[in-house]
Amino acid sequence: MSKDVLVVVEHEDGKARRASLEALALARRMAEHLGGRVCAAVLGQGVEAVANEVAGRGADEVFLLEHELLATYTPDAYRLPLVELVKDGGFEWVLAGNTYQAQDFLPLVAIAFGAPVVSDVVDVELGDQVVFHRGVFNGKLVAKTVDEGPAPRFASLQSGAFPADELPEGHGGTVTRKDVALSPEQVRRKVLEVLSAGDQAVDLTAAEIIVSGGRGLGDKETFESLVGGLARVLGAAVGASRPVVDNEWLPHEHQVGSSGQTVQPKLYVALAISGAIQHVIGMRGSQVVVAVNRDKDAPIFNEATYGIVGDVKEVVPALIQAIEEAKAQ
Amino acid sequence: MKILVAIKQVPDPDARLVLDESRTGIVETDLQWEVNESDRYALETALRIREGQGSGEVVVCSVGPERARKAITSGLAMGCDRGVHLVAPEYQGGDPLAIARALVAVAKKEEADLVLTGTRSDDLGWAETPLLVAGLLDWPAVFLTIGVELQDGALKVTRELEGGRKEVSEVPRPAVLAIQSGIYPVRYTSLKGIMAAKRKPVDQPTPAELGLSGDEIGRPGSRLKILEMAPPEKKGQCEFIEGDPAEAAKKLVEKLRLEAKVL
Repeated sequence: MSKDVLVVVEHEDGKARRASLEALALARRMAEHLGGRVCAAVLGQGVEAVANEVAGRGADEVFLLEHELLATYTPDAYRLPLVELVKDGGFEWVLAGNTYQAQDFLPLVAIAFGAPVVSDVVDVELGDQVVFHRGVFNGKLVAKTVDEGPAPRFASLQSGAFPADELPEGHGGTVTRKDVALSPEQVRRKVLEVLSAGDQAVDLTAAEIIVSGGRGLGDKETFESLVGGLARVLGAAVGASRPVVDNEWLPHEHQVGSSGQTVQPKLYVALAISGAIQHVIGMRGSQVVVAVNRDKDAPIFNEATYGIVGDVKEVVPALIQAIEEAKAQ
Repeated sequence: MKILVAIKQVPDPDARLVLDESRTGIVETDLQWEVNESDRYALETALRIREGQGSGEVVVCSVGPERARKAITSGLAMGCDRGVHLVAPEYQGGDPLAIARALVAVAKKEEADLVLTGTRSDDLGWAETPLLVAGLLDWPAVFLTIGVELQDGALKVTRELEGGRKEVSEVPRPAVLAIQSGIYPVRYTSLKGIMAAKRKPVDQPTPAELGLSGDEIGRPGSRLKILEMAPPEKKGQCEFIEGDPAEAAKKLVEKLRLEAKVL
């Protein structure tokens, strides 16, 4: 049985995505531990440059799967050749970044082998068993998880969990072109169009200070008075986590996170935001983070520079007053 | 058209959680439970499709112990027609593949034309069960659905992409759609709906009745095992500011001005 680890590489604008390079970084650690090789699969059309990039960044063998039906991503066009590749390759593990795209196809590849996916992995222990750590209950707990089934096994990795900085440059991996047989009727999802985000009416990416609120504010009125009130005295932009937008307290343009904007202000104030990873991805680059939350175990405090454990309804009015007093001095 | 909506009951996202003795789960007593957030949007989407058609049936299904009956009742109160509760002990404690096998058996028995689910549960958060269901049924699936329009024998589906982009595609039926939170505003449950829910049937099929053997479902049917749960390691960089709100606020503003120099 082969001990090789396969990384499914996603790409954008002719370059491997960061999430895929992070998967490559973990694949190198796992392959070394298992005594196997690091392999990668690049699917697309006209993506040889991506394959070469990945062969240089530490993959020993890159499988290049090109076909005109792979020019646009669809789960069927990805799934069918990947299942063939995994069958032939006999890989021990198949890894991918836990991107929206991987969530849309990786379980379909896994199920062809009767396997589920160890999804959204944040850490790994390499011993007799491969033990993955996953955030559960919205990051309040970490579950050490194993897949007791036979190879191939599948895992997807949380963005940012495995730094890609230490990948080599100029690694001399080989690129192997694989024939891909796909016919249009096998591709059940027909992509009609991809809509860009367009010009954001609210651009949070340039804001120096952002005050964001979350579900814990309870209702639209409280959100407006507390988040809006603090933002006014700070001269800050207003942001929000996903549930706020889903509940229509604020339009989508204010959303910070994986499906909203990625921001890097000098100061980010998170009010009653629990700190789900989907939100944290969008604000991790902030210089200073203040979090106010009732739950001292809320994951947002892991991202915070300063934290206050308490009820936003008491803390925020006090903060507004303290800022006004400081200004008056 | 018959739509099967698979939902999960999860602890209130703001609840304080306590690990149980085995350290592989949480203490369930004294917890508030609710229907998982994105699953509520799946229920809303199913009801809108049925209302748009003017006919059809929406069946709400959940795998879970006795307490999960309340989640099914919430779905019925919103307007679903019937419930299926996989309550037998053999179904419980399964990994996403074991759960998917049970849901597939229900979809087949019900002869569903469409299976809707949420995207990710606020407990174990595997975010893969709908795709495993699709794979086992050999139906197409869309993850992170933010728009659905019914067409002749097909669906026009909008899928969320990263950074606010969207993909619009055509998908043949039958299909599995994992619905993303926020797709449509979720309706409030009326008193009339709550009363009507009490009279709606809820089946509790045994594994044998669904043609499932014990080694396909629950713990025996699972290959993913949780060895241990623990609180995440604190990065330890957060400085907690103590005191009553007025004191804490004052100290914080001072630190932001003099220490962090961001005000």
